[in-house]
Amino acid sequence: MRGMMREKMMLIDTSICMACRGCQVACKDWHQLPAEDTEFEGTYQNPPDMSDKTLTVVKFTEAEGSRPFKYMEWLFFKDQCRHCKGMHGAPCQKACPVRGAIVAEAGGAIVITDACDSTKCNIDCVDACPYNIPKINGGKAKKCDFCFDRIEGSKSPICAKTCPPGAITFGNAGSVQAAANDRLAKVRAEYPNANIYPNGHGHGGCGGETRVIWLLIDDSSAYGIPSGEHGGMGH
Amino acid sequence: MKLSGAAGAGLLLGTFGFDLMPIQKAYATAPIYTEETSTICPFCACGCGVFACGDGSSTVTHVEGDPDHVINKGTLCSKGSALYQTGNQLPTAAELATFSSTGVWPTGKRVTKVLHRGGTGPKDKWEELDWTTALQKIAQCIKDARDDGFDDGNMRTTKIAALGGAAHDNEECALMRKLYTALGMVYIEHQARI
Amino acid sequence: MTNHWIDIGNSDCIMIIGSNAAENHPISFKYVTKAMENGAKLISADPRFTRTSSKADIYARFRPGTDIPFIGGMIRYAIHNNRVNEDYVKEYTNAPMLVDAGFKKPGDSGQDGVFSGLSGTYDKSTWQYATYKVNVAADGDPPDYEKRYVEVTGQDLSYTNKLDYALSELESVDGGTITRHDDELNADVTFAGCRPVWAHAKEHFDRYDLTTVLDATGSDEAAYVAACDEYTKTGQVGKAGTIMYAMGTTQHTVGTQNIRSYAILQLLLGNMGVAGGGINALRGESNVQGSTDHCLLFHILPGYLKQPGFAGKDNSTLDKYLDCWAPKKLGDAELNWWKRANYKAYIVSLLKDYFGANAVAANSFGYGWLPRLNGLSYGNNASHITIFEEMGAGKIKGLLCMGQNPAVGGPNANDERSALEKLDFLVVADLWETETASFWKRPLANSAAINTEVFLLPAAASYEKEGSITNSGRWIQWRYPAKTPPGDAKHDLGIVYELGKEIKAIHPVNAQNVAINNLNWYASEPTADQICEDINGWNLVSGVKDSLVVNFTKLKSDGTTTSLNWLYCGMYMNDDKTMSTVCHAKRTSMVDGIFNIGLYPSFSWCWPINRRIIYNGASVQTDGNGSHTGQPWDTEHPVIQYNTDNAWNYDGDIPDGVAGPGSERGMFIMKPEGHARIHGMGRADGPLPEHYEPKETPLTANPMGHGTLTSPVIEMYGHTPGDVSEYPCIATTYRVTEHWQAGAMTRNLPWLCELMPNMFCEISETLAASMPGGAVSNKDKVIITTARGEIEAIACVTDRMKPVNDTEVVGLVWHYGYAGIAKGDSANRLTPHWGCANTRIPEYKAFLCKVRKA
Repeated sequence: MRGMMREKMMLIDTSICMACRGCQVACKDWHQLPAEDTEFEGTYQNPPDMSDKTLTVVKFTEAEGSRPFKYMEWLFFKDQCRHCKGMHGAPCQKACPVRGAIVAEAGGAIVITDACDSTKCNIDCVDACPYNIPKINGGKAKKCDFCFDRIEGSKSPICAKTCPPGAITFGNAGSVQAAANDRLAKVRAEYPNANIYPNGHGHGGCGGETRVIWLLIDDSSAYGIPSGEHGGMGH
Repeated sequence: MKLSGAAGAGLLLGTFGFDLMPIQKAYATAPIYTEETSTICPFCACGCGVFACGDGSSTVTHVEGDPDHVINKGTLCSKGSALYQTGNQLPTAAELATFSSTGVWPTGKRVTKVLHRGGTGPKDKWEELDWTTALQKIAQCIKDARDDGFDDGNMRTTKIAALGGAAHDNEECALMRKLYTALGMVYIEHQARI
Repeated sequence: MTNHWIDIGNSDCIMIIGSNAAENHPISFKYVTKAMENGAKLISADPRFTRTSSKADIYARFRPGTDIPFIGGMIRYAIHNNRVNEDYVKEYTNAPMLVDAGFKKPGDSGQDGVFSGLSGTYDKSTWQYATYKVNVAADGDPPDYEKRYVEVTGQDLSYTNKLDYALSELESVDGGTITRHDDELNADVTFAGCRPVWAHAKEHFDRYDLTTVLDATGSDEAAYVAACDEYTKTGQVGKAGTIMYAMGTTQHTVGTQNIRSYAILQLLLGNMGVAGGGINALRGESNVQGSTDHCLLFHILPGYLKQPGFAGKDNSTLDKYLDCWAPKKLGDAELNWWKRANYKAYIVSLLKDYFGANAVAANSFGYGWLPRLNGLSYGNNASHITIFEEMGAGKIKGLLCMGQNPAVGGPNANDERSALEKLDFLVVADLWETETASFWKRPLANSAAINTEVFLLPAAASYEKEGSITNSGRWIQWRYPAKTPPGDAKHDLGIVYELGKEIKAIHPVNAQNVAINNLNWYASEPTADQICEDINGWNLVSGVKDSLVVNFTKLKSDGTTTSLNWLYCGMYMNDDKTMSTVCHAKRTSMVDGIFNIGLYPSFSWCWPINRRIIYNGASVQTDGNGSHTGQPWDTEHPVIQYNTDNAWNYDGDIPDGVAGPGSERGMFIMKPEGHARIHGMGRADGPLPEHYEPKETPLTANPMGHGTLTSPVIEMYGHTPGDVSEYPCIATTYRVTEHWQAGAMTRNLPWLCELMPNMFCEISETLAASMPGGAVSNKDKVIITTARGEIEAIACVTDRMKPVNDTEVVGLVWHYGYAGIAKGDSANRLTPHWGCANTRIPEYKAFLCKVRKA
């Protein structure tokens, strides 16, 4: 199956996401991950970050408004692994010294396997990742696996499937990129700073360096996320 | 509607326009199921279609939105996505054994026994009752309260109240209303009022 | 909802007010998003900037409890900027009808903020339609209009008092004394001392000018005016606007009038009955629509039939009951659905199910065995607040609490929890050990001193049982069981059946027990399908269930049909081919209807008779001559269209009692006059919405400039509101996506507890900085106090909260309690025990508090 699968991409449209966090819970259900023991941190964001038990987190940021009848924006960023592209693999994959620990799976998913053993490395994947994604616990690195098992079964990743307003588009790379460009053109009418992250480099449209891309209504700095512009990916 | 995932997947694909074949998980930790049961989400009143996936009789191992439901089209919010845990937060055998000695039901676990306090039972903890005894005791409580000052002129009792219904099926609501009315109850309310 | 979830996608402008749909009805945003992608604007009007606001084009903040000024100003804006669909208003509403000459409004001279007829409660006689008291000299000065009218038309004037009729007659009689153009809605005339609804309404809402409104609401002027402008654009023919509301609207002393203000706005803009329009109450529990339809409420019997003795009326016999509640039609052409013949068929069919063969014509089908409400405390009332007041006074011995958690969800929860201690017995059926079930071991309780006998019955979860539930759009859908309930847990159907059997067995045959003795109970545990068939109803042949009743028009008042709920009649049908029955709630066809507006008529089933958009008659154009054309206003999204080839005479949705083009029948068939009510004379607190402050208000004068600060007709149950001098902040309660209602269903699910683990409150940066006890940072603990109690919460200091008119607003999540995994203080320990003048829904959404650093 793996060889036959076309390259997949995912677009997360933050102009549509209303942070119901169905994705966060559905991910736990599909991967049968336990809940974390959390506390209210003064924000709706919880858990505060990804972990070995939490593979995707919606990040909440309050920002100044740029539109006439809305004094502020509440920005929602569903954070997760970007599933970087690259000729010789994703940065984490290239950095990993353990054979077979990080592999490419169906649709181009970058997946950490059971072969991962953080005692045998200097957690190189964590250092290599421009987006602070892999988390280490119990000798293993954990991160989003793009639900590659669902992709193999011709289903969307569970987060994309469960998203109520349809903020997450999943499909063949070409059509997702086209959808991203369409949406960007529309959203810019209201939000001139809208951009495609992390490949867009401001206003340049879609690049092609990660399999997961976001439509942001403002610069990535407003969302408090790494720009990824100098991430050294896939050269 | 039990949709057998393993058998007749081709036929279902044709009918529903969606691949209902259960996913053969690549890694052993993934939830495997053989039956998809169609149900409706019990939280808000959007009425989203849900597939409860499991063995179809005793276990649900995974829940996701029903892609062939015209309202939610396979999607679910955080509450709907957590439905798996309503059926699976059960006390362990060890917790049940502790309960029989302490009378303290484990926090956050589904109640699986009829629990009772006061009356002939202890006041400081729960004791377990069987259904027959419990229903007989409840019926007697209702009769005693009803017999106390029944208002013949208005055919009613003001000694018993009932609350609840918004989480019930229509059939359950209809049956409750019928029973309460026959008892002459007028203090009948549910979540719609608050 | 008059419309339904999918229909939101047809809208041109969506106003979310009194609801936080993105958080509490996330799937609705599938359709909000769809509409926005097609160019619709989204307005979020809310005291808090929420996840809904984050997606809005316009965010308009307003002070809790000022919906009526907010909407009143919008109504005025529509009128002053010619946004009103005048044809619609003239033909489909009661705007042209004359109101009694004695009617006075709050702004009228000498009224000082109240309507005519106030004396403790309102005497509503002057609010009614005019019925021509003027019969002066026979020689005609002034002329005897009534006599002349009857001569000319052969109709009884008192029932056909539409302005059209009256004025054309007046014109012919009086020649040139009053000038009027037949087609002009706005002519303000006085006919025999009576003025039309529209004249009164315009005068009433004219007082809600921008300055007054902003003074009341504290809204940002630019955002408010933009909201008015954007929303009232939907008054244009072919455009539709929808209002999505929920408990933020209803949980006020003026809750019903808040909704009335939305309804009036929607009528003026021609948004009722059309695709993408309507008044859409977003219901918060999976079957709160169904449980309301089956009337687990004190004042109504299944299908919204009045409980005998409601409002203290003499309903001692079936005839008196029907005389009292079944209205006579006002106008010959009107359908008047609640007419006596229908009302009687519905109540008799219900009684035939309840009492079976024991219900016969000779005993009025057992009507006299129904309990009556006459003489109950607090104004013949038995609503939630009354129940707990009576319980607290030791007057109630037992409570059956099925899947409800009043110890968290009830207002003034401290008192409601104490009231439970006064019970002899409490029965709780739930999935979890709720706060209500464990009230005897709540913090600080002395269980040894609490004598209440408590039974906690383990119930089955949604996917462990079978049956139907009704969603907010009135769609009845079937749930199938995926697994058996764990341990001894049992579905409620079985619990109630067994309990009924036991109760019947122990009650001896005597006069007091006649209803139980004659109760038609099941011989063995019924299946959900069996009861569903009984809800639908049966044709009886020689007293035996023969075939399912096809729809409610076939229900009989002679005892030859049964039905547990006339509204659901038609959901279960005979299948002549297979000689079996079919439940339409189980249908799953994904094929849309002829006009592709998302009705999906063969997916599930919806009451009434599968009509997806109610009042859809108003979606066709008026003909300018007292009738309609049968053609849709909105040709892009037609709901119905006249076509005699169709068995219903209309293509599209099931038409809502609409006659053919040329008929004078009104489009709102549930009203005896057939017309939607801009002037609604049945309410307890006025026929038009007037702004009154919440019972706890930071103001000392009504911003409308009169001397009536708060609603004059609220039952206060002897409680005294807290004063602004002690409690300077406004508190309002709300919910979040991650938890559900009183919390038992979600605070026991670890994945959801992880997302929202603790009780928190939302406060502004200014309040945080000026907090008594020291400035508060995000995540610090604070104490919130009201006249009822005190709770602790974690502060969420956010730019999303702002003071309004210099008064700080504190947002309180109300999901938490002392049971479950995620625990926290219950916001309802702070909320007051009084409520809406009409419904007595508690005033959870606006009360006064003070906050200090913990």
